[in-house]
Amino acid sequence: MKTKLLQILYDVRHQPVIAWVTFIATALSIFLIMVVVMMQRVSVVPFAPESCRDRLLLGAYIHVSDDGHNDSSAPMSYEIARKLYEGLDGVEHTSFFIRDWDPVDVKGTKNEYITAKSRFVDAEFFNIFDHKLLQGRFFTPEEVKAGIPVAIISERIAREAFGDDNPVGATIIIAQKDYRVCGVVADSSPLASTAFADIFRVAWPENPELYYGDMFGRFYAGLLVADGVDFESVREQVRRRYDELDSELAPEGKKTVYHGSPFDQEVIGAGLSGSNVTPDVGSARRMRYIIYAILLIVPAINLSSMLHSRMRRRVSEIGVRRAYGCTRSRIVFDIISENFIVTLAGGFIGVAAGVIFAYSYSGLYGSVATLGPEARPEIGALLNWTTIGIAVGLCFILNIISASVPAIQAARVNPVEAINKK
Amino acid sequence: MKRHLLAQMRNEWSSNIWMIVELFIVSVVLWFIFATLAMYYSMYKVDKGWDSHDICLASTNVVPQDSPHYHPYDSTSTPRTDLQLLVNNLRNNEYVEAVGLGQNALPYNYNYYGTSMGLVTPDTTFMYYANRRMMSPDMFKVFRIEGANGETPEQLAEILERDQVIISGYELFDENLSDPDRFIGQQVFIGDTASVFYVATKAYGMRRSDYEPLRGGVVYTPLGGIWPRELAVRVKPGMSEKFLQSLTHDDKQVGNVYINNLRTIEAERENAHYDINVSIRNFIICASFLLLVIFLSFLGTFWFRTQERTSEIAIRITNGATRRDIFARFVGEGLGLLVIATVAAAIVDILLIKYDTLPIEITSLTYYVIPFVFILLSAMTVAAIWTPASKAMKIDPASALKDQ
Repeated sequence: MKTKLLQILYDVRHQPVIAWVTFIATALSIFLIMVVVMMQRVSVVPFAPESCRDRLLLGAYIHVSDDGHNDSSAPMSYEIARKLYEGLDGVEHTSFFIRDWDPVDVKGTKNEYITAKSRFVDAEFFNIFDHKLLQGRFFTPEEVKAGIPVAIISERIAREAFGDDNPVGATIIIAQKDYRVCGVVADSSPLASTAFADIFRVAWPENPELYYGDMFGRFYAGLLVADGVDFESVREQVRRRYDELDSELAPEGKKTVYHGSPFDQEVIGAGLSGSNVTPDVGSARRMRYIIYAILLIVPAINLSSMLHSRMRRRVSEIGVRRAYGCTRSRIVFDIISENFIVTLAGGFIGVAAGVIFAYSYSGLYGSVATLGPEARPEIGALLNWTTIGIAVGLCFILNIISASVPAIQAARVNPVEAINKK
Repeated sequence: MKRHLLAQMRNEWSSNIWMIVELFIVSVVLWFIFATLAMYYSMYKVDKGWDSHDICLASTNVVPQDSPHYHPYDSTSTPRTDLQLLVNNLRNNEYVEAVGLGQNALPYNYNYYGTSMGLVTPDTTFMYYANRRMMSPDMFKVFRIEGANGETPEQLAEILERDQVIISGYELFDENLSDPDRFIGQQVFIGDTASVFYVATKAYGMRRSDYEPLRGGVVYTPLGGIWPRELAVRVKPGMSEKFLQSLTHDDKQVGNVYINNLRTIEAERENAHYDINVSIRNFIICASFLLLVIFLSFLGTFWFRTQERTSEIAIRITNGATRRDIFARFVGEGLGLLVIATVAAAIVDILLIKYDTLPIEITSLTYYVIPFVFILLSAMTVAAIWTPASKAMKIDPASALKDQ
């Protein structure tokens, strides 16, 4: 190891331009790939209040067609959401809630209106999403069923609407209607696109604002799947319920179009598709892999070319080693492992720069949702063992692609010719 | 000179092959990136047919009846009379030129109210498919929507006043669609056969986004009995912020009707284009990264070559080559590699276009991107080779050949 480090230092001293170009290209490559990786990871990795992402399924939309020409599709009415998603085997909690934010004007004891993002949810919502309760309590099922006007507000809204006053039990005006604050939760990031809101109001099933006819409304179904239960088995049950719904719709000449709901976090994180479209995860994934491949292969060719140049300077050294009995495989291994140290060093800089960039620049996550300036991922969502593992893996792949050919070519050198060149 | 250059490139074939492969991949990827950006630009620069400046938007709401803030109505007033008063108050604001109401009438809104319009003839029924935009006549004045035959917004507003409808042309050709001109001057049904309207003329179709062509057409219809959830205000030039600041509580609420979510059209546009702007930015970052990699690649390789070929360069200088010749040889080598890679890349680009394998719309700009990428890579190549080539120019033949 010491010899390899000395060799690297020697290279830096005697071929500084090539050594630095190699180092910068490696760091830049790993930086960019890691930013792309983290952009995607933030949309799928669990973090509060969406610590459940690994077990979350989202029932979204209903699409009804009559003769194949007239289609209607939108989020569901409460009845349809229940019909399709309530009481499924292998599901621990089922929540019926409104996923879209409503911009609302809000006023507490401070006599001025502020703008907030509001969402209608039921009591089960807080059994799925781990919002941290700071004061008061969550909704009860009875409050939701009866449509009691209570609200849970975020820490920010509590501060801006009530100042130093205790908000719990106080009245808050939301969209010109009085609500009683029953709880205060910690602020969360809008990157938790399914769970985030500034204000939660009860999703009263009979609220006329949440309906567009019998089939359509604004409801989604959140399903917390039990540990070890296969998502496909849940989908299979939902598919059977679609069939039952088709039987009910048949007399009206209508039928449903199934698009693969309930969706897992990969689809949710990609922003869901339109209500009449089957999400194409495979295509998005392929595109991502192509981007990774390009970002790896192009710098790898560059690095390979640099290494090839460096090896030309070391022909006689390799010749001497071969003359003293060093095997070709040993030379290949030494060159690749020596290069791996350089790649790891560049990779470390690349990952550090990537994490700082991904944490400080919230504009990166546009595809997760339309977020606003407060969107910022938790540092744990960016820097964790999985991310580090991916980074090391990428360095290894980059190293193998870039170093293999020059190393094999260098090892093939004829000792006599190599030494004579000297 | 040219033959010597080719011979030199052949001598360095092993590292040149790597550079050609690298340039080839980068050239194809850059072509795809810039072709995508060109597609966005082509869509963006299409004449929208309406004036997207100096407009403010808001949502209209009614206080719920079960709210303690609800004011019961007497026999002379309704939410609609409240709304009319609110609109009149806004019209009297010193910064305001026009106020309109609508439902699915605003741009930068991805709702699609899919509507079929039918023209019944003795032989067949011609269908026109459109996004339905329901609006008060004044919306034409707010957005200054232009008629396809030069009608002014005021003339279009008069058409809507008469309960007639206006349609747009199609932007995307589809052989299954009927010619929109067939419907002009005809009685048609919209949605169901009981709902009959007269199509007065054709106007520009308001898109949902600047980067998305019309899907089908647009039909502008009167509001009828629908409660308008959208309000739009045209303000005097440059007065958007002042208008928003001038609004008092009484301006924003009359009786049980109030407006909220007030914003400028610029904010709405930025919001609607957020994802696509992120994509464009990511494409540009990716292209910059690839160009930087090419820069580093040429810099490193030619730096090494300068060191390796010191004596050869010294002999050339001794034999009468000018320093300019030495510089030109290095740059020529780099550009030669780029030409070989570009020819191969251009063949692949054209095949990709021909077999329609890419998720982009092909425009005339798609082809112009090929020489553009070549020029860009040429600039990057020359910039990268400049320093090592300059270093080669400055080699002192006497000291370089001393050891030999």
